[in-house]
Amino acid sequence: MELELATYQVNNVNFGPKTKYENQQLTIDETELRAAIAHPDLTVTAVDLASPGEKARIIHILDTVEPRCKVGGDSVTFPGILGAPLTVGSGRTNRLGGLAVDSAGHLPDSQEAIVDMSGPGARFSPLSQVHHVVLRFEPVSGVGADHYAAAVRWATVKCASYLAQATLGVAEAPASVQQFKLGPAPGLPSVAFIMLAHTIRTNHTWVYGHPFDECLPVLMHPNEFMDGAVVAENHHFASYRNVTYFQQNHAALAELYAAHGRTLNFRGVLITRASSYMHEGKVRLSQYVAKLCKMLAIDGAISVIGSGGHGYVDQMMICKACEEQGVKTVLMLHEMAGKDGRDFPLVDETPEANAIVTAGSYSIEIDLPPMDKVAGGREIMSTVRSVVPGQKQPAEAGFRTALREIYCATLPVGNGHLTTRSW
Amino acid sequence: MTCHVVHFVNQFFAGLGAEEKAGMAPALVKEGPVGPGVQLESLWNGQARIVATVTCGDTYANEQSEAAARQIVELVRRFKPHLFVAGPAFNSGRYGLACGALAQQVQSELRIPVITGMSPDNPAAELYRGDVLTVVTAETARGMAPALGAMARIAGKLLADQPLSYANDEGYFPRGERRNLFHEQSGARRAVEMMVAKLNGQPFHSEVELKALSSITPAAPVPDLSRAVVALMTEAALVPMGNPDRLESARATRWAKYDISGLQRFSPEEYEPVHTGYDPRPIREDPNRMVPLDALRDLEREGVFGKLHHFYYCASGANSTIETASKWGRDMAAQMKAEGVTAAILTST
Repeated sequence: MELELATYQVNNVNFGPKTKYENQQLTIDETELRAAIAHPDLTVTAVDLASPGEKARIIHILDTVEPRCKVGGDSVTFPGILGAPLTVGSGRTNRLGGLAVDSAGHLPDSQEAIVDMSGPGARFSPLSQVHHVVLRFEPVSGVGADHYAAAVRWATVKCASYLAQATLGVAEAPASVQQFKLGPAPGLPSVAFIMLAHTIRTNHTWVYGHPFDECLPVLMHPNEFMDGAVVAENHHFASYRNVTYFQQNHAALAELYAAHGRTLNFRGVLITRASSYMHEGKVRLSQYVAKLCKMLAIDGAISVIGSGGHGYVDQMMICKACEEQGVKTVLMLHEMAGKDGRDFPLVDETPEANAIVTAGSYSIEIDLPPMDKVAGGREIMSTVRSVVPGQKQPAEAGFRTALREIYCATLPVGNGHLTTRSW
Repeated sequence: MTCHVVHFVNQFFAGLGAEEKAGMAPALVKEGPVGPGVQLESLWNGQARIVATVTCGDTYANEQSEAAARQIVELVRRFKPHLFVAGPAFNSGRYGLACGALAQQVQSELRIPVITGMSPDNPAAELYRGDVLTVVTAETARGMAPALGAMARIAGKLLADQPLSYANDEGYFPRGERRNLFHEQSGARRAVEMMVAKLNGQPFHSEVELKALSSITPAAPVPDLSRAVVALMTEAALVPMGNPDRLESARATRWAKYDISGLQRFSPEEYEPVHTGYDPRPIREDPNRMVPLDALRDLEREGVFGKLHHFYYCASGANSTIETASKWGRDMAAQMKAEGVTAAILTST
């Protein structure tokens, strides 16, 4: 599999009469965009823009997707959702660098998720550094939650694809073109990446458009992630969602690619469901992943946590099963060490987990200042601790929140620099 | 202004003798540095000086620990130092215990910073590291130079009121507080480097050092279930409709108990789930799926157990810290015991 990824950088985004990309500026025809993402099960109540440095706050974020489209060939990005689930990860893909499409609104059990584009909160969300197109959605009356969720998912990746297609046929050269191919790397230790895919009843991880809940672990190529083969649907706590944008821009896969042929032989990704409900399911999947590692002659595996709570147990069991098979493991996760930093930081442990990278403790509280502009909604959700029950908290106001509510603040796949240490 | 330091060493490092002097009571050795204190003082380059060296035999310190502490505190108090240093003790168990205990006492009574040093396998390290700032040293006095270097450096920061870096960076045992910071490398970069190091047998530092969660010994089985009073409890936060006690959906600060006298099952009109960690839809349809009051009433009628307790205990367990949940458990158990409960069934999510 060989992928050519061309980056068209976006330094400015605004609305205009025609959607076009020119001189690193993206202009969006809002009417045409709304038509492109129209779906009978939802209403787009707002399309807002937000840029780095603005006194703007985005709230109620469900997922975030980077605009990418295939150039030529039959396959599409976000296969299985935007088109047939043809295998992706080869050929040429254009991306709009520095731009993100957010879906915003409410779904059953969606938790608050906030990005501040400036101020003290901005440094905690890696997405404060990119321009945003925020799609605010509402369900059409009478539509069931699962249908609405599917519509939101489709409309968001459709928007991402629509915007990326503004790069097709432009005269200017892309800012960069990268080649992604895993050639032979003899004599180096074999390493796999184990992705635990977030799954809680109303949230699924979508692989080629297929919900991953009941699946046994499978092998994937990192290029497939770059073309949107894995679409996240994690509406739980904001800070540790491995959202679609970071499946496409997956720091751990990028680092493994960079190390391939130098210090290791990157063999691919094993994707497995996180948070099996029953112990038996956890046993089945952890055994299965370890077995696949052995069959692939994997020497070392880096795993990333998929969810909180149960997700720790699955990850620890996978660690133990792999180490028992002689596969050395490193765990990437987030932690919750309590407001004062004194609680046991994880939910589970195993003695074999002796190599852990942490993306930070989300228990820490921070004060967010007032903002001039809000996108995605109007009031902060009442699940945020500082919201007084029964009262509405306008999103422009300043308020205190835990890092847990800051979108991707403790991102387990490792794009960020936040971490935790013991004092 | 040069800071004043009092240094504690055992009888051996004071140069007074070996095992035969281990029974000696606390004493002032010299109004100045002795033994390793000489090298330690020189490392401060004038920032601090050791105004007194005190000692105590290892045996006395351990077998008469209260008397030793009292006497050492009084000796130290005379000199009004800015800092108290003990050891380093390396892997010597009795010396380590003496250093830890004496430093702890000086810290608490004289309210001055203290520092000691010992090796990771010294039994005293586990005991005192949470309370007493303890530098990680080698196992034997062959590691004296780096041990003193670390102790001098860290003590220098304490004396200058400078913040310490994290434990692994400075070289002390972590004292149980996790704090966030921004690292110059991304988590992904650190993970791949850690993987390569581990594969090549090179040293690496796990960013989370796990201690085994303590094992709880279960209570003895109920001898006669047919006479038992069984209480129903949950962490799934199934509460009376409207959540009258305002149990939080996550990171809850309280729990509640509700009277279920005469109630045969939880009805969806009267009870609702408010826990954020699971899909509530099946529970909204039938709350007994999560908290099986209906099944327990059947079993009660059949005489499988004596009686269902009239209170149902309800907690909201999403995102709870271990400390919080443990406290809830202790409080609930105390109330249940007072109410005559024999056993409890806890449903979890």
